[in-house]
Amino acid sequence: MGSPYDTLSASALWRSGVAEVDPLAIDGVYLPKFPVTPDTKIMTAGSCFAQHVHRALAARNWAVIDVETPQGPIPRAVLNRYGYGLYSARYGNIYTARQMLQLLREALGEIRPAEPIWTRDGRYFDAQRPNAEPLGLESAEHVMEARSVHLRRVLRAVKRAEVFVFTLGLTEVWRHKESGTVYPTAPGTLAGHFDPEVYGFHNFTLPEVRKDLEALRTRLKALRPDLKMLLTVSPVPLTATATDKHVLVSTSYSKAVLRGAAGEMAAKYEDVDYFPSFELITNPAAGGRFYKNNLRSVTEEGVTAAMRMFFQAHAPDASATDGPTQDRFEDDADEADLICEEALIEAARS
Amino acid sequence: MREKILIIGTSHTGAFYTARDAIAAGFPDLDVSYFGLPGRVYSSAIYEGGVFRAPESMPRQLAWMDRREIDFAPFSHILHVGERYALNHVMRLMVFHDVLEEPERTGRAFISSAALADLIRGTVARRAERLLERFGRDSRACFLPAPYPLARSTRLGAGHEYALAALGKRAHGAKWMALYEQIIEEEMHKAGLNVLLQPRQTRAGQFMTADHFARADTDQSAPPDKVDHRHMNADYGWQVFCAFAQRCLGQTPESGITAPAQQLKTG
Repeated sequence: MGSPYDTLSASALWRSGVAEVDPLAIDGVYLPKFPVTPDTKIMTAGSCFAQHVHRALAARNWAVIDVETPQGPIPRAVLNRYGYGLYSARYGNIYTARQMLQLLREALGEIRPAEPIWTRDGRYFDAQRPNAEPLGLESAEHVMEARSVHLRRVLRAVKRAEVFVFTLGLTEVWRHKESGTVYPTAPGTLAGHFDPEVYGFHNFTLPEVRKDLEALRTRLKALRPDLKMLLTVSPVPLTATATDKHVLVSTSYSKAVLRGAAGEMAAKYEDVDYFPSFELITNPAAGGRFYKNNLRSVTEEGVTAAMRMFFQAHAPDASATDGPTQDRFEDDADEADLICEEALIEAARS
Repeated sequence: MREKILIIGTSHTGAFYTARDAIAAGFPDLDVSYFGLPGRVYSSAIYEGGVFRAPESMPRQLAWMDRREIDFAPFSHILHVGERYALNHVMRLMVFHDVLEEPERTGRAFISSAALADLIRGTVARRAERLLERFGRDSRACFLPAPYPLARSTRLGAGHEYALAALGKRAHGAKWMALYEQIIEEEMHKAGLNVLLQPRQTRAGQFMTADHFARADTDQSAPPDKVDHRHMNADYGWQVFCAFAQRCLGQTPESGITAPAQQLKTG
């Protein structure tokens, strides 16, 4: 009588599934639960790696939603500097499930985030997207006016979406102690002032992330009942950890929690799937080749490999060529110059 | 020996060509050549080795043109006509947004003045870069934007210029269009290119061309396909050439030469 492992396919065994396979051509890593076509209306959000997803979809003229970016032959780099063209709405990077949930709850009028406006050098910043106006605005009223319109656009994007692609980035977060409001950056990094009496650090647990993803799904589907979710985990390691652990350990914790939460959601719901870009980029067979010299940023080759996996699974005919088609911004700027507040921590320390 | 001048560009060169007799009489020391191509053909034309050549795959031609290529070498001054600097896109940026720092509120999406200024600058800078890539830094060259649409184009009907009409109703329109022109001058200067903005005397208000520069039989009483609010008449060509001559050549027309009558063959 043989072992139950005797009949497994090649992809189930590490040697034949990974070690002996070209990391650019692994089959069966992504087996979609539901189709996504060039006509599927896709909403994107998440950590800075999600910008690659949005850009790749837009570059191939897939129906990726964008409800705030001005139209016209405006250079991408200039648009991106003001948070336009990065995601389906101008919310900037959303690193945690809690931040996404909070945004949606705010847009629905359920909550009002605490300390919504931060200042720097006499200018006013939206604490929930401090990078959207790099120089800030001249008054707090302007920040709130702009935010109110932005929130309406967020709801518009959700209502239009058929698939919500969300890239989970971090578990570590800075939050308002009394209210629990979370922020995409630590106060004092881009704007604001860090007061340890007001703000505190938190590292989300797996149950917390799971609960947030559940609540997020509930609200998304209340707005758009047929909406499907496609979760991914950013392969980008932490720039820094605010825990007392080594950053390598903290990165593993963070990614493990996020990967676990995404996996559990995908296992539980037919309308939630997981896209394994994290696995493809971090595959040991790649020998780190998908990371740049800082061993953190993902190379263009890595992004291309991940998106090829997506396109081959969903539109094999359209993915015959690897290179992106002309993108709507006629981009000629630095292709990999992502807007990443997290990386600004590093810049500020250098 | 007469100084050789080239006027080259899109169909907007037609206004200059129709003014050719007046230009010849007003500036007898100048030998002016005219070379125009329909907009799309012009955009696809190649400038290589000092020769500007229309693509063979695009045979369309302006009625008055009998050449497909021209060598820039003999000319001491070259007036490039017709670059639009993304005018319509820029106007739409202004029309479709409420600028946070401006008092007017219309319920449109907000944009900060910093973002608006940078988006305009980025858009214009790209156009300037393209001109530089295409023609190189040539001290003989001067770039004249396409004329603003006629003032009558803001009236509803054929050829209606929606963005222009809408911008006229926005309180901040004039201020931001003035900044747009300033940005054109700054970005062209940065690229090392010489620019001549549309002369004031041809304008109606800030960013429209006066209606008396319209070509004959092109107003809204004409059949829809003949209505044209964008291409100007010989008088416009004359006025602008005089401004160019004064600015770039230091010359004024011979006395007694007045605005030319409309000539028939235009683009």
